[in-house]
Amino acid sequence: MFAGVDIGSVSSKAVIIDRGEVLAFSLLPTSYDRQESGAEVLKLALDKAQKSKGDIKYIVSTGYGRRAFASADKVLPEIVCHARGTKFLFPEVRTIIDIGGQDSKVIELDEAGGVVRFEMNDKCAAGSGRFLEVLTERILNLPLDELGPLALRSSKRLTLSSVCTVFAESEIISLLSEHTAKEDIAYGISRAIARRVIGMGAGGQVSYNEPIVFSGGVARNIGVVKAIEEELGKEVVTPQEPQITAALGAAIFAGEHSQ
Amino acid sequence: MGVKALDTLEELAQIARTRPERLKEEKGKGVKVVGYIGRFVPEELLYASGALPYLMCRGGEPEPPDAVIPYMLRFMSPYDRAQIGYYLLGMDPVVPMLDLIVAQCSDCHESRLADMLEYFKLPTARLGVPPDWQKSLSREYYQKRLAWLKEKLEALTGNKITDERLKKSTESINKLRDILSRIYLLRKQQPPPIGGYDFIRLNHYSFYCRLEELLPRLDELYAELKKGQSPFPQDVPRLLLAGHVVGVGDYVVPKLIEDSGGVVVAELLDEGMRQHSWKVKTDGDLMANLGETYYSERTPPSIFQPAWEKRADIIRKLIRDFNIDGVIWYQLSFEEIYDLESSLMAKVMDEIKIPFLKLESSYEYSREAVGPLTTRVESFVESVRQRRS
Repeated sequence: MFAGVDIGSVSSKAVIIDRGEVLAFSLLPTSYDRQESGAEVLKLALDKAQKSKGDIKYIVSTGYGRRAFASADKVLPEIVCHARGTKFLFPEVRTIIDIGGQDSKVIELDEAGGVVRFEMNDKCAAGSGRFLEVLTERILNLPLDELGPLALRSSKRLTLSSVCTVFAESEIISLLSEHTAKEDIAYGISRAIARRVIGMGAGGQVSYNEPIVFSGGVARNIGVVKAIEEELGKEVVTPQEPQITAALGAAIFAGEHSQ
Repeated sequence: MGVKALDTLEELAQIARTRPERLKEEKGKGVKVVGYIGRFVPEELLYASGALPYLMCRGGEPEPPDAVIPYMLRFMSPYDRAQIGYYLLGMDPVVPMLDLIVAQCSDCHESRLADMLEYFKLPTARLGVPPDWQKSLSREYYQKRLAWLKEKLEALTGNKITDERLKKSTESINKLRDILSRIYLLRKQQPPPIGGYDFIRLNHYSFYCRLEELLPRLDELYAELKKGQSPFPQDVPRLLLAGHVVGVGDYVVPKLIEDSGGVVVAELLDEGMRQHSWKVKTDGDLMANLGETYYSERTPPSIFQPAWEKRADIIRKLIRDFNIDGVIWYQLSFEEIYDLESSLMAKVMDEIKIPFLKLESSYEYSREAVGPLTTRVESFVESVRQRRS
């Protein structure tokens, strides 16, 4: 039995696998103590699987806080874990778009699932999950999970001119004062995120070969999924559990490394 | 690399660190101290004049480039901004005592830096470098600038640069390049006895140590390294570091690459590294020989036009000769020619199926900046390793 623990900047995820099958997974917000976050999220997954830590043969940690997790037998960067986990779920995958709490990544894979090239944001969290959260909950006064369905009702193709959280905030306030419909603003936010991440990948010479898998917490937002499809002119698929692909990849690597 | 080799490296580091005090001491005895910026300035001429050279090539810290913002656009290379920034912040004890600064001017960033040196009334000599290197007029121009520099150095030091003096300094620098080159070639081994982080630092120390101290220690180091003891595992991914410059002190990226489980086995950097493969001819017209090696026959830097196809060939050859698994392109912000070339090189690497990672730095290595940089480098190294296996 093997475990993958992905300690992200916003949430921590754990996946337990045994004989190529996912036994359990878990997800918790990451606290300032990343070691504790890793330990807690792993314990939660073990509880779900009705197993104990002693049953785990090998643990791989990944994500922003990967080095803080002392229980890991091996540490791997998240790009390769995303690639491995997504390949497991979608064997044909050639492009991964992942938008997490504070970072975004675009990864191009070859036929064998190897990473050909990737691009990721630097320290600015523009266009990430945090951007979505601030604009939706604080400015539009909406629960985050309502933004996607609302965006789908938009008939206009509004675009925000910036994905900087500070500038976008003032732009949305101006739009609201002009009585722009909230659904149009919701789509505008989604489109801004889509354009940002697609442009970032294109800057890194990613070809956006299909099939394209969209993962990370933001992939739960149907408005952003639709905006990415429209901007790329290509179909995008999302995993049933879009936040655990890196943890899943880490668990698969754990299985391989222990052999 | 064994303990003895590490000790030699540390010894050279200590000697290099004392360079400012030693230059001050020599200056007190009447010796002229000449600063220089750029790898088009032949050290051979400086030594032959009896002056002591001081390479201005520091980098890796955010404050010096920021200190120059009132005078140089933010959108200019942080490396060029830093060279005057260290002086403005009082972080370089040598620059204020320099008798002359020979500043190469091959692009707008370097020219603006020379403007700043003049603005702050530092004794500056511009060495213009035409980018259209295949034209005879350009070669003549560079050759004439060398002749002009020779006269300037003679006037400054009061020493005539005779053929005898120039031959002697050329032979000494050739000897230094030869030993560095032999150390460099040991990196063809798998695993290499010395990685890029140590080799780049060694190369930098070679600018700040006296030749008579340096050469015997480099011989010892070579003998140690030749024994083949490597600090890297047998299956370590082999990487080429290419781009503009790793300044003295700007070691975050090479160190990060090697902390991430890779090893830099070769470099193609235009500045900051002694061109160890060069051998300046020591017969015939010695000044013409310098012009040939430093301008006409050199590995063309990115600024030379047209050169990118030749540079692509050089990278392809390095990949074959050093059995390279991946290329890391390292450039600084707002270096437009390197930006363009990185896209061209990425396409070339794509054709020959060599993984390519572009990194860009503004010398801002805060915790927030290093986090994503670490993820990039670790991900690249790991994906190269997986591809290899």
